[in-house]
Amino acid sequence: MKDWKQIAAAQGLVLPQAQIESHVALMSQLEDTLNHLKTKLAVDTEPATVFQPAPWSDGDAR
Amino acid sequence: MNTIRDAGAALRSNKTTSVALTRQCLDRINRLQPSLNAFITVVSEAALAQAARLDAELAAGADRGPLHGIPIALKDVFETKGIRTTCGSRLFYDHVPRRDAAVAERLEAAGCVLLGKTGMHELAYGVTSTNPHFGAIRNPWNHGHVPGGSSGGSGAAVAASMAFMAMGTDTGGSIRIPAAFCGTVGLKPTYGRVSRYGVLPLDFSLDHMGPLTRSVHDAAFVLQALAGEDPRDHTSSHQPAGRYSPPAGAKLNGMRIGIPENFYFDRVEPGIVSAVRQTASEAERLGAKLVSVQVPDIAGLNAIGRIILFAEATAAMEPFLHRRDEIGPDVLSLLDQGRYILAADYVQAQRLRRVFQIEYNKVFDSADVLLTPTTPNLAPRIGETTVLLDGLPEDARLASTRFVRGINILGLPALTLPCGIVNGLPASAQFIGKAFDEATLLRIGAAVEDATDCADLNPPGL
Repeated sequence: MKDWKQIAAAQGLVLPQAQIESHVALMSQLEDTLNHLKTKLAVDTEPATVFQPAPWSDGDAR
Repeated sequence: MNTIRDAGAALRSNKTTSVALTRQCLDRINRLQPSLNAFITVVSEAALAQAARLDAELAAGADRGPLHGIPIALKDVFETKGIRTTCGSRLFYDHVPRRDAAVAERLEAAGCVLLGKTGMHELAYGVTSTNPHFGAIRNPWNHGHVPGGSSGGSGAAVAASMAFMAMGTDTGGSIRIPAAFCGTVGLKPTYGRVSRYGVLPLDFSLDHMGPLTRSVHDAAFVLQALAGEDPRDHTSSHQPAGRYSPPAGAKLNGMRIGIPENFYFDRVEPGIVSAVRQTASEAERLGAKLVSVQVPDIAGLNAIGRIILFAEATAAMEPFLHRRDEIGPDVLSLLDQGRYILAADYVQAQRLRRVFQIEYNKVFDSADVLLTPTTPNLAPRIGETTVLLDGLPEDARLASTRFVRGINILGLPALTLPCGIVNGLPASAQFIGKAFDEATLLRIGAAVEDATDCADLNPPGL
């Protein structure tokens, strides 16, 4: 698990404690989901950035 | 006369003029703006002058097509040359662009009359349109409820017949949510189908442009005018535009409509479920085949979408983040959340996005389109931060985006149309299609619309 409070501090976020706690709760939840989903990734899976053709576009090179 | 189709017929049979249609809209804006707050800027004189020019053109035999002489509005995120474009924000309070957005250019070329700029959620980053700088926009069906967002002014303006069409943008549902809450049609085209040039960005890879209208046929007219490559937007697709106008009174024989067995009907307001199932039955009566489908993990898809959204929005707004006191608290909190996203996690989310695109596209092996509710909830009250679904409280923002956000991540087209009234507020159905197959969505939507009275919803007293 990442230390979200340290990340907030490193980013220079000076916020009320309650707001930091709410951010930490959300980020921890997203981190859990991401960690679970990452197990699906094949080593050669490319990011779906907008700079590449999307999987459906069949050669619609941008 | 609320639709572009009816107004166009009246124009061509000399029963009305563009000036008369424009005056009709301006009168309604003058009457309803104090209660609805749908507009940030109205350009009455310019609109009437433009309408007079278009009337003269039509009289001389020069017809630009179905949008000729039609009064419309643009969300205040589309740049308009010489007309203030605020993005609903203090940061852009005095921003007067020197250029038109591609959407504004194309609508002007198609003969539209610009009435003004509609209000929105601050920076297009939220779903209520309760704006701390320009005031709350109100839902024409019940002034105590939000119109949805972020294109809330566009939803309210079209529902209240202040404009025949208003453009919206959709990063996580911001066309479809206000369309649902205000009882209008909303169309989010495929990513790359409509140019993003000249639109203040929220999320580079998630922002889509599309119309809110009173009918599916009208949405098709607008898409026809907007679709096509634009070299100024490097994400604009090379794929040629289709022919979008659906036939009137069409049957749906041979069409396969997928009804998801998982996710999309969980924890939904019962009246909305009934209305959407009624829409499915109507499509079946018109000849479509209903097929049950399983969709991928949409909750997971929504989660990676939020990671992408947080990171890209904060990057887009980074030049302004030091002006914290000029940003409303809800948007500022979201922009702060983007600063927690690590680069590796953003890249993993984009890699997972590709996995989900491939998985979701497989659903279309067994269905031409999917049919779902647009939102699980009706329009919340202004200031309400949680909604109750199946007896459980849920964050109103997360509930409202639950069925729409994922479609932005996939880049697929989606069409929403009103399908009933529940507790005095509109319910809405969402059709989701294959990439660049807006024509099928519009054909199915128009057939359902023609066979029912869903395009004739008018807020009480209007």
